This record gives sequence, structure tokens and C-alpha cells, in this order.
Amino acid sequence: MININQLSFAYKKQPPLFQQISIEETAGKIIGLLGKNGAGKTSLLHLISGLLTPASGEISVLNHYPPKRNPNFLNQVYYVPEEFFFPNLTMEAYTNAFAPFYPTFSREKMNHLMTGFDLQPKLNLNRISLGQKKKFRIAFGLATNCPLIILDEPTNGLDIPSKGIFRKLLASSLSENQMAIISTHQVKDIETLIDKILLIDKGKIVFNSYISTISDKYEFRVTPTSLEESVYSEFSVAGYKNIVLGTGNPTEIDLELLFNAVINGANLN
Amino acid sequence: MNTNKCFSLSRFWTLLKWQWLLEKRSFFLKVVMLSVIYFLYIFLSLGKNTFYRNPAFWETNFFFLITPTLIFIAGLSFPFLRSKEGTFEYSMLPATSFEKYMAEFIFRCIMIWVVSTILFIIMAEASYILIKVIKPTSNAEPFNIKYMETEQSKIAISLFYIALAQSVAFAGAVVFRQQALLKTIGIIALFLFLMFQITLFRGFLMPKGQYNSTIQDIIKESAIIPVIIMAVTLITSYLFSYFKLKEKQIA
Repeated sequence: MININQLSFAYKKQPPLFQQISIEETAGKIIGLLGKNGAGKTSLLHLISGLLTPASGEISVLNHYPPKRNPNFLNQVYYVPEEFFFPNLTMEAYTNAFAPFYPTFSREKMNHLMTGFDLQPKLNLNRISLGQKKKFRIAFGLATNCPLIILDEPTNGLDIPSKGIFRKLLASSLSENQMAIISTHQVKDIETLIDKILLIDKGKIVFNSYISTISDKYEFRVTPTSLEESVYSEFSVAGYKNIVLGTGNPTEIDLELLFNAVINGANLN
Repeated sequence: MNTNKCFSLSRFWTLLKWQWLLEKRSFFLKVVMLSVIYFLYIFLSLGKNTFYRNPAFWETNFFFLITPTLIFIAGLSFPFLRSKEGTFEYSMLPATSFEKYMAEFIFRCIMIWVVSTILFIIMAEASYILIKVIKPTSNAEPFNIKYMETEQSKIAISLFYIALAQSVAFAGAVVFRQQALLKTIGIIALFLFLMFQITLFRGFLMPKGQYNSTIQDIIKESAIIPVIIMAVTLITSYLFSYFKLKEKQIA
């Protein structure tokens, strides 16, 4: 579904943001795109969706070259940005206006998602809170049934119950022939949702692994003192958080710890 | 060549419907606003009884009202491009740049000619009826298309000037993000000023004998240059706005 080969990119008059990165991803998974602020998560998503053109290298998404912005490509990709613009319409009118562009859009699913997010179709999009706008946008995106759904910081602005609903609805809405990429720096929000982690730092993909692989390979333990055998450890209020090689007793993955470990140079690949 | 990649009739129809759904409220507001302005202006002009002092009354007022309307509406094209977020939405809309361009062009440059002309005729008729009711002795005559047919070449030139200004305003709406219309008007004013200066300068370089020509003579004699420049500007503006739209990216 996504094939990126030796891609480099730089904004005008800026040092290179990406240098020869390569990614190959197939459908049927939820990918967590993680990275520090300014690491280039949104830029990578813009490259995938064709909003930016690479300086060099190859990129193919759904067998299209994204910067060409072919409508037959655009109607297969739905991008929920971090900040968005809504015309002066009700949710219902917005759905009527935009849904015809997506051949796989399901009104039934939209109604189900609107109910799930507790959204009122008659409300004007410019008179609702940021959280409600985001929920509507996520609902619309999922209802398009696009093969590729991109969510940039989807949990920003959502209250705690809505974050739970978001996780539940996203997990139940995607089929095997779809892929979702969730970009966030709030790793806790998507911990239970993602199948794969893609971590970018300083213009490079520094970590790319399935959750199941990490779970098989490593264990995450909190101990009063730092463990000698730990691959990475850091102090927290609860004690020392350690990543140790797996001993056959799988533990829950601490994404925050994993993130810090990779960013701080621990070799987990 | 796969034309579907560039233009698809069904997708274009979807885009037109989309545009109408988004614009209908603002369209009706603009129609109401323009109707009030047109009516008040024509009614007050008729009331001043200038009709027989100005044989080209209807023609003059038609262009006086239509010109700013067309420039104003063309300058408000591509409303999604006024913000980074809007540009994002517009870029991700599954339609080609050509289809998006054509939809805007039809709505803001073609349809507005028809709408504002119809509004002018209706308001002219309404103003005339009201004047006759209030002041039965008035010499005013109703609007008739024959008034517009007297000096066809003059009208054609006027229409050409309006189309040119409209094309520049349309291009400005793609290029500028904030206060696109104001910035475009500023550029048009600068352009006209430079044209005027060039014409004057050319006049001073003329051979002896023509040196003391009036400004009007100089402009008349060098009319071909501005006409060529304007024709090129008209075509370039529309082409430029298309390619600018095509290359729009999130910076």
C-alpha cells in the first residue's frame, strides 16, 4: 500500500528534513507514527498524501504517485489533520456535500459513528467545540471507508471519555483491506490501539517494528532499583522503569518508555 | 491520454453541486445586497432627472454598477485558499485542479455576468416603475437593450476592460492568502499607473511637431500597445491562476 524508497525532502531554504528514508507497509494494520515535536511526522503524512513533493527518491501510495493528486488517489485517502477548516455548514450538510466524492462512503456507518460520538447532525460546525469538530471529522473519515486513513494527532482536544470512544470506534471500524496511520506525540492515547510502531527522529526512521515482535522480544518492568540486565532503564515516580530482554513472561508494552529508549539511543531493533 | 485524469463530467458535476451547497447561502446574501445597491443607485439617479442630460444614461450606469461587482466577486474566488487549513481541505478534495479551477471560473466569472446583468435589468425596471408612481411627470424612460446597441465598439472595449480586471482579480485570489482583493486592486492601480507613465514617456519621445500633443492624443496614438499588453495580461492571468492553483502546496 505504501512504498517509500530512499526518499529525501527539505522545505525551501531549510536543511533536509528527511534523508533517504524507506518504508514499506501493507494493508490491514494500524500504524502509530511517533516522534518528538518537529520530528517531521506531519511532513511525512503530507508526503504520503501528496501535499508535499519529495526532493528525491520514490514514493508510491495505493499504486499512485501522491504529488500528482489524481482524484482516483485522493478518493482513497482520507486525512484528518490536526487543525482544520470547516465551511459554515451543519454536520448533515457537510456530509451531503463531501460524501459524494468518496465512492465507498457509508451513510449507515456515519450515523452509527455519529451516535457513538454523541454528535447532533443539525449542529453547525462553526458553533461547536474543537473536540466535537474533531470527533465529527474522525467519524466522517472512518465512514468514507477509504483504504488509507491518516489521523494527525487525533486525540488532541478530546476529553477522556471521548478518547476511549475513539479507540473503540476506530478499532471496530477498520477492515482488513484498510490501513490507518496515527501520528501522535501522546503515546499513551494509542497504546492499546496500534499494531505497529514507526518512530522518526532527526530525519530518519529510527524504529519500525510490530507490537507483537516487541512484546515477544522485550519485557517492561518497574523495579525499586535499576536492573543490571536492562537494555534501557529510567527513573520515574513509581521506581525504575526497565526494558529487559524477554524471558517468556510477556508484559504490557510501555510505549512511553520504548519511545524514550529509542530516542535516547538504546538499540532495540 | 486518459481524460478522466484531467476532467470527468460526473466528477465535475459533483464538484458543482458541492460548490453550490457550500455557496448558496452566501450567494443569496450577495444577490440581496447587490439588488439593494443597484435599486438605490438607479432609483436615485432616475430621480435626479439626469436621463435627458445624459443620452448614455443606461449604458453608463450599467458599467458603473457591473464593473465593481464583477471585480469584487472574482476577487473573492477560491475562499478555501484564505487559510492554511482551508488550502489543505481544498487540496485533498478528490477532483483535479482543472475541475476545481473551472468550477470557480464558472461560479465567480461567468455566472456573475448573467446574475448581475439580470439584477440590473430587474432593478432598472423596478426603479422606473416606482419613479413613475411617485412622479408621473418624470421624463425617464425604461431600460431597453437598444440603448446598449448604439456604440457597439465602445461597449466591446468596456467589456474587454472588465474581463481583464476580472481575470487579474481572479489570479490575485489564487496568489494572495490574506486580503487578496485589496492587494490585487493595489497591483491593478500600480499597473495602470505604470502604463500611464509609459504612455506619457513615449509621447515625449515622439518627433517634433507631435511634442505638444495633448495627453488624450498621446494615449490615442499609442493605443495599440496598451491593447496588446492587456490582451496578453488577460490570457496570462487566467493561465497563471490555473498553474498557481495546480502547484499549491502546504508550506
